[in-house]
Amino acid sequence: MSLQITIDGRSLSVEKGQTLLQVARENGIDIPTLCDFPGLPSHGSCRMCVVEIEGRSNTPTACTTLAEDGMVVQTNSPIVQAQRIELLKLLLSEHTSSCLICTEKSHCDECMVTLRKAGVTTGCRSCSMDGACALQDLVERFGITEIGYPVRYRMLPVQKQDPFFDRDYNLCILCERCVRVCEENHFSSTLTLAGRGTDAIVSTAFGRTHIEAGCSFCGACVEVCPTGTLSEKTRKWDGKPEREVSTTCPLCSLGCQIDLLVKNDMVIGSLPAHASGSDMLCVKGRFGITELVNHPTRLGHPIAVNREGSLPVSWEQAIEAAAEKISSCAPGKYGMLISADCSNETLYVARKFVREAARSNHLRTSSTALYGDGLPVLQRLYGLAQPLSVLSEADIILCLGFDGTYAQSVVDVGLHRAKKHGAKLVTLNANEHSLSKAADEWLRPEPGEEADVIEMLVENTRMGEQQNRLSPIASQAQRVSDMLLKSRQAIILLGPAFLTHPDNLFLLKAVERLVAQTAAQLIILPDSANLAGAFRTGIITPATTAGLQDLEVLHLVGETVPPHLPDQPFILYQNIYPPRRDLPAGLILPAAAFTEEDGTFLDHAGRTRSIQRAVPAPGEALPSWQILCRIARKLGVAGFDYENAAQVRAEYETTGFTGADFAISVPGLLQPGLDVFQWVRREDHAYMGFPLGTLVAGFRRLYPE
Amino acid sequence: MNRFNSYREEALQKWDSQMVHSEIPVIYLGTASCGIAAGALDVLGTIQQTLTELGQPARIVQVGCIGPCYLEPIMDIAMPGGPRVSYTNVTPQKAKRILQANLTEGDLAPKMAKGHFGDEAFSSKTGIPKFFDLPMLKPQVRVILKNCGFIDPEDGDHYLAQDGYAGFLKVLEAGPQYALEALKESGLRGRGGAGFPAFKKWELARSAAGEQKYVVCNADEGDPGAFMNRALIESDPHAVLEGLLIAGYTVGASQGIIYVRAEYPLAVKRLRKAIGQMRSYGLLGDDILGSGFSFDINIKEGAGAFVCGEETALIASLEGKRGMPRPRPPFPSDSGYNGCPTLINNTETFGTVPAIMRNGGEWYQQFGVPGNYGTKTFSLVGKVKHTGLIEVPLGTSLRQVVEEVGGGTELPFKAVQTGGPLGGCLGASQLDTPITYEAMRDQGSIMGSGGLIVMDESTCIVDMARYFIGFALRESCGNCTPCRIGTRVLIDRLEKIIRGEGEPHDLEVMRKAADTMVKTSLCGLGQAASNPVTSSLNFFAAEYESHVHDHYCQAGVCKGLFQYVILAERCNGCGLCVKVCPANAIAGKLRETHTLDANLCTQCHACVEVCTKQAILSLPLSAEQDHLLLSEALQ
Ligand SMILES: Cc1cc2nc3c(=O)[nH]c(=O)nc-3n(C[C@H](O)[C@H](O)[C@H](O)COP(=O)(O)O)c2cc1C
Ligand code: SF4
Ligand code: SF4
Ligand code: FES
Repeated sequence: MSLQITIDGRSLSVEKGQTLLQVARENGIDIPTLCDFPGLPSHGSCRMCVVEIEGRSNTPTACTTLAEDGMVVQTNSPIVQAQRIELLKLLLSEHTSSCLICTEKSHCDECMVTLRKAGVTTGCRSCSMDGACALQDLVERFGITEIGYPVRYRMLPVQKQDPFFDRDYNLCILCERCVRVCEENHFSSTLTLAGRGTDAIVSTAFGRTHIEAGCSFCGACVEVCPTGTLSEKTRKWDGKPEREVSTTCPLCSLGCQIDLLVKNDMVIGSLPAHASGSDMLCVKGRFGITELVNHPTRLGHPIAVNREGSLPVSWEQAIEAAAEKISSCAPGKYGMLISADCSNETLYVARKFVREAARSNHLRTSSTALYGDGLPVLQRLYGLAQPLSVLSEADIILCLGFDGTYAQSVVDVGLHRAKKHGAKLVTLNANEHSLSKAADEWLRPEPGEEADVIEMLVENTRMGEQQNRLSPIASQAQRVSDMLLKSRQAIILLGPAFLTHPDNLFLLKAVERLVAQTAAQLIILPDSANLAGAFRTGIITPATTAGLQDLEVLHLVGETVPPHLPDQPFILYQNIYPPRRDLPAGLILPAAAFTEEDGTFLDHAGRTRSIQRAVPAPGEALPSWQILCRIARKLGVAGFDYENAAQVRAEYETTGFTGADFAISVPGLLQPGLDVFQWVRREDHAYMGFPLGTLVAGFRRLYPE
Repeated sequence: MNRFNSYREEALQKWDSQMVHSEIPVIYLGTASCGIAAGALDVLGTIQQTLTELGQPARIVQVGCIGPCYLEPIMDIAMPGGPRVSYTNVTPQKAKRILQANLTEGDLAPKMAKGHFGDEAFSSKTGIPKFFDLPMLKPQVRVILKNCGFIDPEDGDHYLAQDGYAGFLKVLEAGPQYALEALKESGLRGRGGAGFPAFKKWELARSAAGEQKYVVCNADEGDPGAFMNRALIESDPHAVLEGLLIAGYTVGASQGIIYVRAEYPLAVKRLRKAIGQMRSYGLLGDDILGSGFSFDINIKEGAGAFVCGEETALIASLEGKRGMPRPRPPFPSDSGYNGCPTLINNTETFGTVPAIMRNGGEWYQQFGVPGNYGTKTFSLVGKVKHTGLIEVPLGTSLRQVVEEVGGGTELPFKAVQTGGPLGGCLGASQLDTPITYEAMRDQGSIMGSGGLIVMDESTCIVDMARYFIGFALRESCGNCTPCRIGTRVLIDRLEKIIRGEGEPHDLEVMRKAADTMVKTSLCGLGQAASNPVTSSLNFFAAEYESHVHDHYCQAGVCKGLFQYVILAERCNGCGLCVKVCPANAIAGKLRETHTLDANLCTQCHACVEVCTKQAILSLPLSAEQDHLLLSEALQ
C-alpha cells in the first residue's frame, strides 16, 4: 500500500513501513544522523535526526518514525536546526572537542607533521578518525564555533589489552552502532551498554576482555564506529586511505572479497568489499592482511647462500645460478614442493615448469601431507561442493568439525542466519566450538571417536527406522538421523578440522555415503586458500612411489624449509618471508605477496576469484610464476614468455588436465622414511607455510601453538 | 460458579462472626511496611505476650496501611459490641497498658485513643473523635484505599466479604463491552503519571490483532519517597489482582504479569499468597467459573532501575533485556511483551477498576472534576506535620493537601515537589493549583505517580534541584544524548552555583540544556527530568539569583554561602546550642545573649536545629557591614 506524505513541501508517495529517514534519503533529502547505520535496526539514541511533524508537539526522530498517510514533515526548520546544534554541542561537551572548534584548525593539518606516538587521542588531528569522523562532519555542516557547555573529559582508561583494536571510550557518543552490529548482524553478544546515566558506557559484560567475552574479532564494530573510539592498532595513525583495491582474501578457501585500503603505495587495512556483497570478514582477512604483507622481514632481494654465509646477488646472477643447478641435476633428482596458497597462475606455471623445464615428476604440495589418506575421497567430494549461499535453502545443517571462533566466522554468521530462518543446526565436534550454544544438537564424541558417530548416522539413515539406543550419544545420533531423513534439504558442512582429521579417509568415505543417502548438499571448507586450484592443476599428484629423499635440488615455492634434510640438497627457496632456519646451500628468491600480483584462485566451491595488484612488491620481489618463467627461459625452454598473468590464465583455462594428472597415490608418500612429507606437516592458519602466529602478534593469542 | 458463590457465603459469614459481631475482642495492627518500619512487629510480640499473660482470648488481625504514617504503629481494639478504637504511635509499653486497660478494666483509655470508627453517640460518650474526622483524614475520600487498614490482606476471605470479585462477576455477566463502557463513562485516567484515558488503552488492546495478548501491572514505583503502589498491594492485593483479571477478560489476554520492585518483598509475598487464593477460588486457570475464559498471573520482580517503570523499558526488562526505553510507536497495545499486544497500566489504575465495575462508571464521576474524575492517592512526605498515604478527589487544591491534610509545616512553607523526581517544584503562589493532569502540566510539573514532597524554609531550592537532577542522572538509561549529557550539564551548573561559583550565564546554560532535553529526549524520563530545575528557576528565580549574584543561600544549606549569626533580640541564653556545637564556636553565659564565631563554625546546622527561639539565622557573608540586610532578615 502506498501512502502520501509531504516532506519539506514535496509531496511524496511512500511504501507503508518506511521510516521518514528512509523516505527522505530515497528522495535526496539529507537529514543529519549519527546513530543510524544502513543495515542496522533504527535505534533513536543520538536524536540528531529530529524533524517537525505538523500536529505533533514534540520533535520526533526521523529514523524511528514511520511514515503515516498525510504527514507533513519539516526536516530543516529553524526549530530542528537549533535543536540539532544543541544536541551536537552536548555531545561535544563530552568529546575531546577543542580541535573541532579551534580557529586554527584549517592550518593545523599542514603543521601536524610530528610523530604521533601518544596512545590517547588528545585532539582531532591525532585521532585515528581524523578526516573520517562523523562529528567533524556535523561541526562543519552546522558551522559550530563554540560549545557553550562546559567540557567534561570522562577520564576512562584506554583499553588496549585485546589484540587488533584499541578502545578509547572517552570519544564514544553511545550511538551503539557497535553493539547493534555485533548483536544483530553477527549474532554475538560481546558488547552491551553497561552502567546508567552519565556512567553509561559500551562494554563487554562484566568488563571482561574481548577475548574472554567471546569476541571473534570480525572488526565490524570498528568499521561502523563513527568516532575514533575504536581504532585498529595498525592503522591508527595512517589517516584516510588514498584508494581502495578489491581483491580476494587468500587466508582460507572461502575466497571472501576484500577491499584493500592503500596509502602511499602501502596496504594499510582491509575491509569487507561491501560492493561485491561481502558484508563481513573473519579476523584473518580483517586484521591479518596488513601485517602479513607489510611484515618487516619481507624478502626484497635475491640472496645466495653457501657454507661461508649469504650474499646478496642480482636477479641475473640468481636466475643463472638456479638454471645452472637444475640443468646439472641428475634425472629425477629435482623436486618441487609448492603451497596451495599460490595462485592458479603460479600453480599452473609450476606444473609446467617441473615437467618441461626441470623434466621431473616430483611435484608435491604440503597439502598432500595435511589431507593425507583422505585426499582421493576429498577430491571426489569436491565434485559436489556447493557455495555458502545454499545455506539459505537448508532446513537442517550438519556441521562436521567446524569452529568459526577465530577463522571463517563468516560461515558462523551464515549458519546463525539460517537458524534464524528456521534451519536446525547440528554440530559434531569433540570440543567447545563457536556453535556450542547455538546448535540444536551438539554431537560430542570423545576426541578421536568422531568416526563412530558418523558411522551411526550413516547406519541410521540407511536403515531408515527407529531403533532403541543405549548410549546418550547414540540416541542423539538417532534423533539427528531422523531429522536428516525428514528434512526437505539437508546440508553437510565439512570444516577444516574434519578434513585434516587423522581418520579422514574413513570419515570422508562415511560422509560420501551420508550425502548419497540423505541427498544432502555439501559445503567443503578447507583452510588452504587454493586447494581447488591445486586439484584442478593436478598439483596434488603425480603418482609415484619413488621416494624424494635423495634429491639434489629441492625447489620450495611458498613452502618453508623442512626441519631435517637428510641429503642436504641445494635449495631454491622462493617465498615472501625468509626461511625460518638456515639453509645449508641454496638461493633465496623473493616473491610477491597476493597484494602485489594479479591472478586467480578457485574458492571452496570451485569458483574463480581474482586477486589484484594493489601495491608494488618490496624491492625487486617478483610474482612466483615470473621467477619460474625466468629460470625456464634461462634453461632455454620455450613456452614461458608470458607477458602478464592474463596470458598465463588464458593458457591455464584452455588446458584440459587429463585424468592421469589427477591420480593420487598417497599411502606410499606417507610411509615413514620414504620422503619429505612426513616432516612437512602443514599447519592450520598459515600463509605460505608460516603459521600466522609467528608473523602477527595478535594471532599468537588466538592460535596458541 | 456455584462453588464460588459458596466461597463467598462462607467468607461473609466468617467476616460477620469474626469481625463484625465477634464475641472476643478484635485487635487490629497495621503491619504494612510503614507500620513495620515504625516498630509494629515489636508491638505484635507484646500484644501476643500480654494476651497470654492476661489469659484473655482476643483475635489479632494484621491489617494494611490505613494512611497516616506519622501515627504508626497503629493498634486498634474493638471490644465485643463496641466500635473499633485507634491508638497511635504505640510502643510495646503503651500497647501493654492499653490492652490491660481495655481487657481487664473495661477502660477504653480515651486519653491514649486517637479516634474511633463508631457513631456520634460514641464520640460524645467517650470524648474520642471519629477517626475519619481527624484533620488529616477529613478532606480525604476512600475509593482505592477503601479496604486498606480494614481487612487482613493475607486473608482472601476478607476481600471476598467486601464485595470482592463482584466487579469481575459483573463484567463476566455483562461482557467486555460493559467493562469498556463503564471505564469510558468513569473517565478513569492512567494513574502511572501521564493520565492517558484508561478505556482508550483497553480498547486499543482489545481491538489489536493477535492471538496472544498480555496485561501487565506496573508496580515498579521507582520514585524516591513514593509508596502508594506498595501500600495498596500490601494492604489490599486482591483489588489489584481483580483489576488485572477484569482487564485480561476485557482485552482478551490469557496472561497477566505484575512487574514489581524486588525491594518490595512484603508486597511480593502478599501478591503470591493472594494469587494462590485466587487459584483456590477458581478465579485463575482454565475456564474460569465456567466462562470459557482462561487466565493466569505471574509475578516478575524488577531489579530496581527507575527507568524500568517506563512502559517500553519495563517490557524490555520482562523480556530479559536491558531495561531501556524504545521509541513509540509501536505502542505496547500493538506490540509489547514478546511483540504481542500488551495492556500496561499502573497498579492504582488496576486497583480502581473493580469499584468502577461494581458501581458503574457514573458512580465514579461523583469524585473529582470533569475531565479529571475520581480520586488519586499520594504519598505525602517531607516537612508537613502529617505524613502518610492519602487519597483525595482530583481537583483538590494543593493548598488543601498541604495545609489541611498535611497539617501545614512547622517552619514557614516554601515549596512542594509534585509528581515525584520528574515533576515540578511549586511555591506558595502556586498552592491554589487544583490537582489535575492539565493544571499540573501547565505549572511545569506532572501528575506523576503521586509523590508529594513538602519543603519548608529550611530547604534550599538549588540544593533540592540538585538532588532531583542527581536522581535523574543516575537513573537515566544513558541511551539518548539529551538525557544522558543534559542531566550532567544541569548538575554541573547546579553544583557550581552551590559552591558559590555560579555566574549569571549558568542559568541560561541550564535553561538551554533543559529545553533540548524536553524537546528531543526519547522517553518521559529525559523529557521531564529537567522539570525540577525549570520550575524552580521560574518560581524561585530570586533564590537562584541570590546564590549567583550575592553568593548567599538564605536557607543555610549551601555551605560557605552564608554565615550563622545569633540574633540578640531572640536569644534567651538557654545554652542548648553551646552543648551541641562540635566546633566550640558558640560562647555565652547562661541567660545572656550568646555569640557565634563564624571562623570556627563548620555550618553543621546542629545549633539551628536545637534552638527553640529560631535565634540563629543564616545571613549573607556581608551581613555584618550591611545592617539594612540584617533588619530585613529580622522582619
Ligand atoms: C521514567 C519513567 C518512569 C515511570 N515509572 C513508572 C512507575 O514506576 N509506575 C507506573 O505505573 N508508571 C510509570 N511510568 C509510566 C509508564 O510508562 C506508563 O505510562 C504507565 O505504567 C501506564 O499506566 P497508566 O496508563 O495506568 O498510567 C514511568 C514513566 C517514565 C517515563
Ligand atoms: S564505540 Fe563507536 S560505534 Fe560504539 S557506541 Fe561508541 S561511538 Fe558508537
Ligand atoms: S530519555 Fe533518558 S531514560 Fe529515556 S531513553 Fe533517553 S537516556 Fe534513556
Ligand atoms: S539517527 Fe535518528 S536518532 Fe540517531
